[in-house]
Amino acid sequence: MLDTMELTAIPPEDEALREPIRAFLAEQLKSMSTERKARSWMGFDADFSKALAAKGWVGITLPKEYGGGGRSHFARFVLVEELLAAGAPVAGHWVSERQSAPLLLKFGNEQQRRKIVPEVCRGEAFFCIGMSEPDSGSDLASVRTRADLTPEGWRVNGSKIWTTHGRRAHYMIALVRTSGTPEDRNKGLSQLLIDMRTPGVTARPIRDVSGDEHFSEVHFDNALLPADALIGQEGQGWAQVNAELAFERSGPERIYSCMALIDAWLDFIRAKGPTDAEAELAGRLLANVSALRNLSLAVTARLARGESPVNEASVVKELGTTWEQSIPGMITDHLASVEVPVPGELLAALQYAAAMSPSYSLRGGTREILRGIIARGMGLR
Amino acid sequence: MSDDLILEQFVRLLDTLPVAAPWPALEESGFLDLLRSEDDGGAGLNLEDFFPLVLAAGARPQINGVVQTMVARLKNPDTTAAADIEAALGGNNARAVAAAITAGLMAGAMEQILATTVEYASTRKQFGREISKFQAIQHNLAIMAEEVTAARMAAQAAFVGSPREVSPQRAAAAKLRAGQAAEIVAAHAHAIHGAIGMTQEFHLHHLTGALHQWRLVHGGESYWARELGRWALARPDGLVTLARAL
Ligand SMILES: Cc1cc2nc3c(=O)[nH]c(=O)nc-3n(C[C@H](O)[C@H](O)[C@H](O)COP(=O)(O)OP(=O)(O)OC[C@H]3O[C@@H](n4cnc5c(N)ncnc54)[C@H](O)[C@@H]3O)c2cc1C
Repeated sequence: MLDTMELTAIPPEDEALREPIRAFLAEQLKSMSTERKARSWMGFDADFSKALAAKGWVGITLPKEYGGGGRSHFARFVLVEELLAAGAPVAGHWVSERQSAPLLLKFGNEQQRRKIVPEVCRGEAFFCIGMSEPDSGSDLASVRTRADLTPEGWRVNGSKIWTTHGRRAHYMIALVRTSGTPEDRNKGLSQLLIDMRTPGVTARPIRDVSGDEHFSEVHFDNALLPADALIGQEGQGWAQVNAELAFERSGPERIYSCMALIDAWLDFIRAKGPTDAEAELAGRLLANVSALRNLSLAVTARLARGESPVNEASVVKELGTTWEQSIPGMITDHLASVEVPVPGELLAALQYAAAMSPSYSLRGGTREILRGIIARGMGLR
Repeated sequence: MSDDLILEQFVRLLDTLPVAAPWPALEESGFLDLLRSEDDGGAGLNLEDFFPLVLAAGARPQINGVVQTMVARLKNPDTTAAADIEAALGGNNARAVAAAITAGLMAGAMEQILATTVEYASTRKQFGREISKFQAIQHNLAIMAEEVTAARMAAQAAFVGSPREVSPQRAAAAKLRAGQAAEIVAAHAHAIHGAIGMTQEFHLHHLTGALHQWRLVHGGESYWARELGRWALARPDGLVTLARAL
């Protein structure tokens, strides 16, 4: 059975971070449009990431000796909550501080840790995730991208796809096959640290439904990597990538994708004066986000204790994405009923959320895959 | 007595009570005064420690009115077999208190429904294997687990502090979220149980029946959504700030 999630409060020393973060964000984002705020965790802004890092807020949970903040997961919860509530463009540093640097700290060699983790914390090294391939989505163990160890180093051939900000990232952590064939499944997989500037590595943009080019396809054409590009042990890629996915899936960010839309809608309702039906919808939104937030805090408490609550985090992600995906529909239904003009900014945020919301239950593992994880956690498989 | 011990003894009591005439034994047990202050001969239990007892009572709906009576005794120490906390307490916050307690009972019932359904799915065989081995059943059980988790958390968030001082906003969120889950949890539980779940003899309907009744009392989802929404819209804040202020 799944572990029970208990109501948890944020410790005062971590809650104290909120005001300085808010003040910083109010200043940084003061001229940002609602439409850009709606992009938040897809929004890329290297200058913003650097400014955030200068405050010590990139890699806030990473150890101080590697340039991190040495703070607890509750501090990161407060930070992430404020960033996403404000619609900050977090995509630059998002992956690197959430999963790449923690992965390097756990499995990387000392040189990778000493050089790269501090770069991450300074907002200078952005990472992308090299897992999915054209023929390997949910079935990640079937990856075909191949790396062979030669006297000069690793020779990499193959391709990755759906790589978020692959063209802007400095590094990729790639799951590749270092022995055997795709039929060997999770045996013979390894993780490599790939400098995206390496000759033979090319990233091409893929335009998404909203017109943005955040995705890309990344090709490896005999790219040569140094022998020490291997992360951890050869052949241990499957276990390592699952640890990486645990970092990716356990955070509080899976409940705050639509905040710019909801807040713009609340403001619109306040300005026009709420009817009973509008108050009811506002109440439903609030009750749901409140429960999700408390669940997310319960997961955070487990992370703060050094645990890896994968099953419970999957429950929160699944609940969170399901709820988030229902929001554009509820707001569309409501706006279709009002007789006063709807502000253009609200409509733009709605249009973006409506277009992108199907991705909430794809990225980071599909709904069906997460339900499978939950079922396994319940002892059903 | 430690909290765990209180819970253990409470559960044992509930499980051994004669369903037809439970009140004499309950009176004698002293549990009915647990919420009253120590000066009044109670244990002065706060809501945090009361929560597990409410869950346990919700999982055993055949004996109704136990926690309701405990709450009603805050006002009138002679109460027994109280059904309606709202009427028994009276006053401003009575509906919020009643809604929070009911949300706790619903969460307890749903936890029990989930456990019962998992157990049934793991023993019932069709097509030569346990039905829990079918992906469609696994996914529906996962959905049930998600909803139960959310409902329990929303209810727990309303069980903070002293019993009379339940936050109306938290009570609203609790009753609303529990009601939302109730519909989904009951529907999947019955679907997974098949025809046996439709019989008078099988225990599932006690739980799902209680759930539907509790959903209806002390304000349902729409009522509390409206109350909560009015509170939210009277403030200038964004949703995250509102959730923190709840
Ligand atoms: C916005 C966005 C950003 C992304 N960023 C990245 C990134 O940076 N790096 C990266 O590596 N990947 C990234 N991805 C890819 C993402 O991880 C994949 O989309 C995901 O793993 C699913 O793979 P797929 O799209 O190939 O779908 P498929 O795996 O082909 O799935 C299609 C459908 O079949 C279902 N299905 C598959 N297997 C089963 C099964 N066993 N049982 C039941 N149903 C099943 C799925 O649930 C889904 O409904 C991103 C995706 C999105 C949408």
